This record gives sequence, structure tokens and C-alpha cells, in this order.
Amino acid sequence: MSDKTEEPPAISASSSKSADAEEKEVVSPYEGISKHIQPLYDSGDLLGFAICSEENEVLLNETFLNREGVSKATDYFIANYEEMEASERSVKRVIIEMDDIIIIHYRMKEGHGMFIFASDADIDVAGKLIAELDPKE
Amino acid sequence: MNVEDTTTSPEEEFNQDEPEGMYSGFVGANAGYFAQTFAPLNEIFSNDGAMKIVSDEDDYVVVVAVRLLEGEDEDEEGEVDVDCAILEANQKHLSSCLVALD
Repeated sequence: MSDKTEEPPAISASSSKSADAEEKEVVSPYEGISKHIQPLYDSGDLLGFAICSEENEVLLNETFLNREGVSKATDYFIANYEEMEASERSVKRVIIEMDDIIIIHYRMKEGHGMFIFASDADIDVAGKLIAELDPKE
Repeated sequence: MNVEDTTTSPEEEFNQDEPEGMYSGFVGANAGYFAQTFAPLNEIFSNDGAMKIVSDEDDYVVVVAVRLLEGEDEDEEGEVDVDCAILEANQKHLSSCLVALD
């Protein structure tokens, strides 16, 4: 009989469900991007990516760089886009191959995307998948 | 071609009234411009200075290769050599762009 009194109150269970529901409602605005590029993470090609606003505020950083590093790097890409636009050239993306990594910088609807790949990544597959993300309008 | 310290945009040289030199001038100006613009990334990403840059644009694809000079002369230490190529727009494979100057 005493067991019955030790059962968790029903209200506790319902408030737990409510908390779970609230957690599920908090969805990252970049979840669609993360899901889209997940195969690149799975293959080991993608080392990380970051998204910055047009004003170069770091919105998401999943790279090995800290936020300052992401922002500094993005500065140079943004400066290039602006310089090119001033010269009436429209740049869709910039790819930079270095010793150990390959960067694809892509202007998306959500902001500036900087995707960092391993040097032996299948860059054709990666480029195709990233190009499917909504471009900047 | 050694990198020159220039702040001119690629178009400034492209628009010169020299038809024969127009293409080579455009290529040369792009090589210097891209090498200079993205050189600071070497420090951020701990790169040794060699890089390939692909600018995927509406009208064409510009490929620039920045190579470190391996000269015997100590004066050349740290200097870079830059090559550039202009490819047609909408290249099917990024990998072919990256090897365009190999």
C-alpha cells in the first residue's frame, strides 16, 4: 500500500512532456543546411562550416577556428565580393585550396557560408551539394 | 610572374585600349589581385603560402595558382610566383578547375 503513495504525481509527468515539446520547438534556423550537408560530414570530407551575416556577424561556427578567426577570414571574402561587384563582376562562390584544406565560400540566402574540407575530399560532390543550397538573392 | 604590390582592380587593366594585350592584361591583373586579396588567409589557416583560388563567376571562372618560389637565391626566399587562367563559365567539375594550372 505504501508503494502507491510513492508513485510520481501525474502532474510531474505532464510537465515533463511539456518541457520536451518546448525543446522540440527550438529549431536552429540552420538545421536545413546542417541536414543537407550531413553526408559530407559522414564521408569525412567536411571538417566544419560557419555562417556569417552580411554584416559579418558569426551566426554559426562548427569549424576549428574560433569566432574571431571565422570573422577575420570572412572579411576577406566579403571584401572580394564587394570589389568584384564594383567591377560589375558577379561571384557565385570562391574555392581556395591550401596545403591541408579546401575552402568553399558560398553566398547563401542565410548568409556567407564557409565550408572547410579535407584536402583529399571529393570536391566535385561537395561543390554540387553546396550549390544546391539557396543562393543569395 | 611575381606578385606586384598593386591596389588596382582587375578591370582597370582589362579596360586598357590595347586589344592584343587585353587578355593577357586581364589575366595578369587577376592573378595579382586574387593573390593579394587572399594572402592574409595564410596566417589564419596556418598555410605555407601556396594556394589555388577559384573564382566562380557568372561570366567565367578565374583560376589563380600562387606558388612559393624555390629559388637558389636567398633574396627570393618568401617570394611567390602567380599563374592565372580564365575558364568558361559553369564548369561541371570543381576538381578540373583546381588542376587547370598544373
